[in-house]
Amino acid sequence: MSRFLSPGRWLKWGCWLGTLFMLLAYLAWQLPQRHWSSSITAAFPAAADWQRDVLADHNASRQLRLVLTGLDAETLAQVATALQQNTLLPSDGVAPAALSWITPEQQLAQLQAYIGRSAGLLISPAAQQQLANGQYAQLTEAGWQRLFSPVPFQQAALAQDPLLLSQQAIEALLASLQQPEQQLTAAGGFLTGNSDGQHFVLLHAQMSIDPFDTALAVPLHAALQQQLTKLQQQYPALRWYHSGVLFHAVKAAQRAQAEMSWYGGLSLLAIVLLLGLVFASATPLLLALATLTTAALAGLAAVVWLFPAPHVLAFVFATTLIGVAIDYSFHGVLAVQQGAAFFRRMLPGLSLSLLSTLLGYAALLLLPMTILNQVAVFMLTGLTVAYLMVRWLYPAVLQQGGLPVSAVARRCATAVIRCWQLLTLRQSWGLLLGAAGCSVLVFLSVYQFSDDVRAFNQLDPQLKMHEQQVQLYSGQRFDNKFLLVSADDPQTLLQRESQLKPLLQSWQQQGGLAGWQALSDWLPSQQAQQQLQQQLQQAYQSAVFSRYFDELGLAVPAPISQWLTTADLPDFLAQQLFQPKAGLGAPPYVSVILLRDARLDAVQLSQLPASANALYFDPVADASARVAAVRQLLLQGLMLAVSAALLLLCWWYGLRQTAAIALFLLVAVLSALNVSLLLGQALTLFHLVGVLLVVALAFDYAIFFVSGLDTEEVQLAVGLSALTSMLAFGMLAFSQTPVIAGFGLTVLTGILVAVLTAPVLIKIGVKE
Amino acid sequence: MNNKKTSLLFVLMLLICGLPEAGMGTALAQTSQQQALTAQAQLALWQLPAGRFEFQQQKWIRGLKRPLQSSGYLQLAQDSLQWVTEKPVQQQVLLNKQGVQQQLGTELKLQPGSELIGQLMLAVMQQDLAFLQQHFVLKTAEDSCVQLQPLKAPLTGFYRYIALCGKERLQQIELLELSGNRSEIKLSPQQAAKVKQTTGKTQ
Repeated sequence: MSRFLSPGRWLKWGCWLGTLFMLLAYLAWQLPQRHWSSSITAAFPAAADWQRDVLADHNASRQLRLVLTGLDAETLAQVATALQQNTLLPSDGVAPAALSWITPEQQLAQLQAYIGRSAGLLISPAAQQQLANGQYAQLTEAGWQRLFSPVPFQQAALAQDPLLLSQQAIEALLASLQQPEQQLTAAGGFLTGNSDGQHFVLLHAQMSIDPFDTALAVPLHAALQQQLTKLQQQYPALRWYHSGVLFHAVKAAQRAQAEMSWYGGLSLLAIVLLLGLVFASATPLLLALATLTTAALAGLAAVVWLFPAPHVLAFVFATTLIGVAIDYSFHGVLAVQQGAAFFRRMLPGLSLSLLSTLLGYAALLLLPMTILNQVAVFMLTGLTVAYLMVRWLYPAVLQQGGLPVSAVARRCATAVIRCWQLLTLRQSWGLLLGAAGCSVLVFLSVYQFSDDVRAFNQLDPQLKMHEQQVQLYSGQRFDNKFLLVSADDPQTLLQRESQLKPLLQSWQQQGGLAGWQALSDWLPSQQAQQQLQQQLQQAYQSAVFSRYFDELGLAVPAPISQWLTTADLPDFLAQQLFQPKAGLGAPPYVSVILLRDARLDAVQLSQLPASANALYFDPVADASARVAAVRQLLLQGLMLAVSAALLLLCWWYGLRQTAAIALFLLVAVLSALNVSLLLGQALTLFHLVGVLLVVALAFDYAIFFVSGLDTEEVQLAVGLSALTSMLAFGMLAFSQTPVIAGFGLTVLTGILVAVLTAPVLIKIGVKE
Repeated sequence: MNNKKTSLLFVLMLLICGLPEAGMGTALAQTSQQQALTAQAQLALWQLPAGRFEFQQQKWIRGLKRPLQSSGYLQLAQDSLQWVTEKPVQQQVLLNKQGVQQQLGTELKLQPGSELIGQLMLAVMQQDLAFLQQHFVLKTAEDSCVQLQPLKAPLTGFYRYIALCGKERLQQIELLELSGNRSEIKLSPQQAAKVKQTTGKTQ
């Protein structure tokens, strides 16, 4: 009682509470000011990130398409109009103007304005050839034909472009973009069509919000679904299909949230039950939680202090802190129960465990990857704080024998130890070597790594069906592969694009490309516009043109001096031009050439002229390559960390014990990976993150078993730590997201193998 | 008291002014309904049979001092209309539900975004009442004409009105574009002799 009321105890409590308060105050002050990086691309090391910035700004991810069908044409039109007129209200949690419908009429109006503005400055390649060859009669005949055509034309352009060359050029461009298999007709705010005798309406909308911002995307998605459901109640035969990043982002967020609450809740319940059964008290759980919270806050504060833009992903990797800190906590709780002498004997093991883990994580600081550096800082700080709490606070908080351990738990621990003690030293070595050899052989025969980001997330079958249906109704769109052309100014950019056209045509003839959309097709460089004007002015003096002007009663058009610029482009084209943020080697201007059905091989891509400053960019392949780079770095970091820890153990325990620990580590890690491989999973970056946790915990188990402590106490602490870690992370093995399931399975099997085989080290590892 | 009187007077005035207007509104609605019915009956009478029709077109384009004149023939089939200009230039245009296909060299090229124009021209020639009623307000006009006023976009962005005129048969189509351009197409059935001559030439 007197010890409980001692000033030393209160001082320690006070120190802990003071530290906790300071950490909270610092984080409350700093966190709102910090910009958290969440972009997956920001996590990767790269010299130039402007390509990804450009495509992130490319608003394709902010568009959505909706197909309505199942009703007659007239009713469908009514439904589409009702949907467009129903405003999504801020009262539903939807951001103001989050969604705006793009009507074909808006696009048509912009196109008509552009036809007028480009009069006399734009010409189709075929007409350009005729003009250059002096085939004026063909040009005037085409002019007459257009004038007599029953299709209305942009009359305002006639004075500047009596041959209607710009109108004909734009019509030819639009024709090249049209999909022959799908006929869509503009009809009062939307497009209509007929597929296999079924009428349908195609709606196109633009979002002002980021579809990955769940706070804004989820209410918008819900409001849209609600409207559609309401319309379906009114028209039961109505069917709809949707397409767009919004639907995938919201689905993924909802799935992640459901999994987090379900698995997290289940894990927490299981851990509480386990600790309740073992200790019949809430104190160990509360202590573990207090240790973990303080360690995590300290880690976060250190990262925030040292890095201006902490990355969210770093904290995913840093979840390993939970496993290791809980392990320390159980060793501390159990050791205090055995008395001060036992606690003191446990401390060298705990210190060595901390030192080896710190050394391992410190190795990550040497890698040229900020996210891994952040993980290292977080873990170094968090683990040190967890260690200090166990060392100084636990003896002050807990009483010797105050927390009797359940007899069943103790009997289980004793049974495991007795089982392993049946083996002789030779048999133990044989078993360890045999298991390590088998694991290596199995691993070498089946191992395969995959960095393909498409396999990281399983596409929801329902959403996939929706995407396919929309594709079917609306026709094929451009690929998610691009040619990026860069330059210091828009004029050079347009010239460089034009330089690429012969190559694009040749790829098209070879079947490597079905089509493309480039800015320079619509907007010639100023140089090209001047040249066209000169050619036209010269042609206007010819007898053929004079007769044409006479018959029309038109004067010869005056030379044009106001050139077309990027500011004149219609919206759907203007979004292909970018001015990337300065830095990271970004060029001042970048244009995106959209490609259709691109199947270009390395030989074809090598034909891209260096002078055109063009880059073929496949975001999926690029992200996969970056993931591969991270995986390589993480693998290097892991090897470096393990080597550093083994060197420390070699110095402390000697070569034989260290060799045994290394073999034990190999068995635990490779068994975990082999289970995933034998289940048909290719190993990914996230399996390696799981390995990181398995290695950290396996080192702890190994150190405690070879540290000469009471083996039953060690088994009890290690067993409890392993069970809680398996409950916390193992549940993730059932996640629907393949990479998370891979991480969970690795941790589950790795810890299971480690906890079951660690007692083999008792005999081998005892220092002679 | 004065205020009350003023208010009463104001209400009375409103009633006096409003009553005839309300009556006029009903009368107007009845008239437009009647006109639509007459227009529909007129269009039904003008239904053209499949076959060949000569046309003479005059097109007034804003900015041009005189109208453009062309002539040729229209070949009307059940689901398409061939528009062949013979003078002053040779030109062949095919209009159907897919849109307007213009002859470029030896092949017909579909003009993008022309689906509605294709459907419209075909509907006008065939007097497709269902299509016309869906996209236009129909009313009778002077000189035995039926005027079609576009109801909604995108047609409202192209045409101010289309007028179909004739007595026993459809004789003239007038298209007034929003830009001010106007086309007048005079139709006459193909003369027997000319049909024979053309058939002979084809053979």
